[in-house]
Amino acid sequence: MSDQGSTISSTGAPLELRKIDIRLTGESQKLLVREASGVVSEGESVGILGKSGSGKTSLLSVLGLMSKPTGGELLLSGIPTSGLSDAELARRRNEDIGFVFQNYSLIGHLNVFENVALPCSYGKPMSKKQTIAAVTEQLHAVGLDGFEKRRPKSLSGGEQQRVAIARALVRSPRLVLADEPTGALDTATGLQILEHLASATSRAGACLVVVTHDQEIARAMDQTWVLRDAELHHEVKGRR
Amino acid sequence: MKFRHMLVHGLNDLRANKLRHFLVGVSMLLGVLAIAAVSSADQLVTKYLIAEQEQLHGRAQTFASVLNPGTLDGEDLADSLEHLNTVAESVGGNVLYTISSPITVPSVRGQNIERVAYTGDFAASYRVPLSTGIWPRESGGFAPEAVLNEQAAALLGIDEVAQTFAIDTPHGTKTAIVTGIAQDGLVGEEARIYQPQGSVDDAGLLSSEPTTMLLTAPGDKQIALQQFAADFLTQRGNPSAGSMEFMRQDTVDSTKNSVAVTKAAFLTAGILTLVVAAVGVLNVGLATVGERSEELVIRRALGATKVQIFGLVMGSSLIIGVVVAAISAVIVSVSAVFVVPRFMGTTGLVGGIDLPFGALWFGLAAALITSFLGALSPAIKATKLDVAQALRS
Repeated sequence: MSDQGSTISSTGAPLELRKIDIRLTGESQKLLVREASGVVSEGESVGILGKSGSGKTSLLSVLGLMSKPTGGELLLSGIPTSGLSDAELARRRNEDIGFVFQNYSLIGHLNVFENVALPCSYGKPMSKKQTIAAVTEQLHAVGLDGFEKRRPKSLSGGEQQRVAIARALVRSPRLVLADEPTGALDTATGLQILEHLASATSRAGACLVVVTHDQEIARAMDQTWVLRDAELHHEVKGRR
Repeated sequence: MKFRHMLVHGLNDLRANKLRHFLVGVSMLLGVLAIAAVSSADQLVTKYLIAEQEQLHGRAQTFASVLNPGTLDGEDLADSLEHLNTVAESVGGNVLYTISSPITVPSVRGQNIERVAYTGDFAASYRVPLSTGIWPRESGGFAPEAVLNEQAAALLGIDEVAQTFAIDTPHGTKTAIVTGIAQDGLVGEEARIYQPQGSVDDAGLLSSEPTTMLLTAPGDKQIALQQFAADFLTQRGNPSAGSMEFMRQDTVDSTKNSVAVTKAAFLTAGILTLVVAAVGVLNVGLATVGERSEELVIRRALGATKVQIFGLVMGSSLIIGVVVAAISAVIVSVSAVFVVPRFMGTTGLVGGIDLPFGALWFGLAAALITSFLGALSPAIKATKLDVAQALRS
């Protein structure tokens, strides 16, 4: 596996954590995550479980290349990410990772089509035709045909999260990271959304990492990683 | 980031915050127009002040000397002056020889009227616009030709050209024909008649009356022309011409120095206006970034680079800058060409304002620079937003 000149050997999995340390910045320097390791293979799903304040979001931030770990190495498709520049990290986020945020994080002044198409504006250029095709396909996949011109605020919470899922998958990433994707939804809608998310990522051949405090959701994934006392514990289960 | 993307993002941004961007644009437009207005006002004030000085004391680089005709008779002197004028004209200058004397007009006998008899081009040495008519021909016509100042015209009841009036001369009463009415800047009751020497038909004047010789010429030609005039008149038989002293008569340079203070004040006002506009844009930009930080970090999380975020924040401001620049160019041009002349009256002393190209370019540059600088700090701030905040919003 090529790793851009690095001698690190890897499994080539979409996501691989090697002894990741995460410390809080500032005076406290509190260790949030210590030597966390793990591998997420092609098409696999992982639920990261932890209490509030356990460092779940910080870990997700590292997995999503939004911040760098204090120690250790994160490999994305076998490529070490610690030496990547800010622009290269942005490109990897754009092309390799899809994000589903807790509060949907749709942009209010853009319509549904524009929100889903947003990742296509960055990274490797896509033609207008390719963008339209990709957006249309993803909106169809999440059952939002005909919603293209609607503004986010005119949609229900479930619909907004489905738009977010379509946006996460529009560039066919290898990895989808979801931060409490059902946190802002009622139970029934949450389950529905989770089903959408799982089937959409599965269909796209991407692996899925869901950060949640809901044990039921976490344990529904192929692997469950529990973040407790700064340690990442693995509970291996069957594939979804 | 491709320029097209920057433009598209900028337009989307404008569309998303129409009112705010409209107000930013208006404030910038007012700033640019204020600069153009200040510059035009400065130009007008300078022009008026200098024109007024040139009207009363002579155009820039006008030197005067008293000339004693000496043994030269009127015809010799007239020939000499004509030759001197030809030489002066060849270097872009003018020789004006004036004789002032009181005259009597029978129709208003007892009223003081002064006649200025001249050789040369009067308007080349003094800025004296005509409200009507033309300056008389040097050689005269069937009757003595004259230009009246407004006081003389009022005194004689003349309000248009081609009207006539009688003048008492040593050779009897002559009828003069009015060819123009001049705005010579004199105030009060100073009625004056301007007549070319050839039209006066009284050569004796040249060799008997107190006379003034004015040389108007570019600065680098002045000394040579003065020397030439003295030498030439001496050679023609006027020994006193060798000791002629030319004194600077116009006050254009000192007026320009005085106006420099006004210019500085206008410039300061213009710069302050710009600063106010820039601070306004900066304020709005910073507030916008604060409000949009969530959107910006989401874009960063979805793959936007710092450069793209920078371009996104700059894009809308630069579009506003370009639009403001274009609108202000049109407004300033239309104002300078059509509007301002309508309000300037018909004095003719100042021929209107020139299209303030300097101010316009400065204003256009100011609009772009203001929008650039105003957006720069917010754009830099936007690039420093923590991407990880996308997960915490």
